[in-house]
Amino acid sequence: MKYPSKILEQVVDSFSGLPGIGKKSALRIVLYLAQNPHQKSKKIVDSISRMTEELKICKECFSYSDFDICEICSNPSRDRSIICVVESIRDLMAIEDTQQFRGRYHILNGLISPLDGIGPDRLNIDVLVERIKSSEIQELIMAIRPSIEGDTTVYYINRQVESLPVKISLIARGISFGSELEYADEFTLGRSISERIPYQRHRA
Amino acid sequence: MIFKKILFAQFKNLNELSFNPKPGINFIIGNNGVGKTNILDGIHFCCMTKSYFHHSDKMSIQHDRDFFRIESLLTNDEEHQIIVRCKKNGQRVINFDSIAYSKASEHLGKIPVIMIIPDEVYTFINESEERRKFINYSLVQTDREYFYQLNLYNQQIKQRKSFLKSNNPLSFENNSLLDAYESDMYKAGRYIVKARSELIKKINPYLEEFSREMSDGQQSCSIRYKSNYDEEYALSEWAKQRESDALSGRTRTGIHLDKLECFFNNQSLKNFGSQGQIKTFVIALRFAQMKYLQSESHRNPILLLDDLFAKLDEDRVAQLVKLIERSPIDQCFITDTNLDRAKKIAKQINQRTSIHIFNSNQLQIHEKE
Repeated sequence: MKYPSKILEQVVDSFSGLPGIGKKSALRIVLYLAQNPHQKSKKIVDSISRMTEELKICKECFSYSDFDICEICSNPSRDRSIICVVESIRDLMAIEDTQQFRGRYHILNGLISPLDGIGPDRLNIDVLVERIKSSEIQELIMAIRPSIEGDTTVYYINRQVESLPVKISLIARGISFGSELEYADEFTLGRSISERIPYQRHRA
Repeated sequence: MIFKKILFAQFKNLNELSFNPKPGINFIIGNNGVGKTNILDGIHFCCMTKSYFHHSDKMSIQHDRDFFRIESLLTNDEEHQIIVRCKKNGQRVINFDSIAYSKASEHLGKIPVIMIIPDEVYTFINESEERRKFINYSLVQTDREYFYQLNLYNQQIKQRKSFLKSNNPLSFENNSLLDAYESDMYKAGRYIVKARSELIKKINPYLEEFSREMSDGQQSCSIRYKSNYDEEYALSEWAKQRESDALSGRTRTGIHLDKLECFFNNQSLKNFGSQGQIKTFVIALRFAQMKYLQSESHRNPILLLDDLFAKLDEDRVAQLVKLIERSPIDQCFITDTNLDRAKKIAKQINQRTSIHIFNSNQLQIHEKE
């Protein structure tokens, strides 16, 4: 595509290639910003530049935060004895949305996969072990996606902490609410049958 | 299951082709290069969600095109539709009755299929990889858990290899991550070895029966399975071999090195078999595989024979015809370059046959005289 201005082209180039944005969407966004009042672009630029300079990573759980310790970790009403281990910040946000969990989190920042160049040392696993050693943590909930890499990562973490007095649990795997049994894949359905739960517990 | 109608679009050299097969035996006649084998491969795609020949889906897209599509209509008691679409970016969608599978593997085994191509006769005897492929091909169609375990094993062996390659050997001892990979390989291996041994146990009687039949009782064939995995030692072997595996870049122990040995009259086929004996063996083995698939899945397989008759002498052709007649198949597809030969064979076969002829990129049914 031919651009009337080099400046415009440069902005389009930097927008395109962002997750979910191709050349056409990028052009639409840039033209919108160019046509609209000056303040709009200024505001976006400012907020982005503030993010790059001021956004912090929580020293406890590795989530994004405005402070050294994030709001969840510093909240006194959250249970300090239980940690939910997740792969990414998006998973943390998904679990927070359920409002079912009142403990704190630990973000691994990926799953172990040497094939993709991710060894255990690239993830926040050592710090997790330290965290357990230095505080009163009684339970780790592994909220890791069910996959071969996920299972390997859980196995690895389990081995790192097995000598410590901490209980390890896995999120339940099974049929999602409101779905049809006949359309569930066989692994999930098979697992749901073999790892069924007593009805009394379900009702409670 | 019977294919009633297949539409190919931009699949290999089939730009636009509509094919209306009949129940029973379908001969597909045409000169070299018109696309006979591609029709068989398209049918294979509908059954196994991938090409028989190429590992990558992209290779099946017509040159300079962005995608291919195969639409097929099948019937047994009721009608089913399968649509396979592959794009150049590797995206593959398989619809069964208008519902897309979330994983293509869910489709495996719905329509059991066997393909026999003459070139394989030699690779089967000479390459152990081809023989393992034979085992896996049989089992993934009948055992869903096998598919899962094999996948797990292959994934973890790759991860282990990659870890060994990129890390310091001093860290290998008591390494929990390597333990994780090896324990998965151990568990998956146990399942795979058991499934493979049972498969061979079930196939051997069929193989013996068919090979005798094909050779007028002269040749009695069998296969022997030898695993490179021992439940008792596998874990300690892997732990011991970490350093040397890292150096060689290979994994020396495990089910990926399992052996399948072929015998005729208790002699090694590879060392003492003549070309004819090897042909008899491979064809008898495929029919045994078919019988196995049928008895495990209670579904009649589709049989695909690619230009097989051209490579056989008259006696063997006659025996093969007898085998086909007796086989539990609903539908069979046979390609050939020679119309007269096909007519002659069609006359011998005591089953419903139809002959389709390639004519300027169309398949026309040949009327019987």
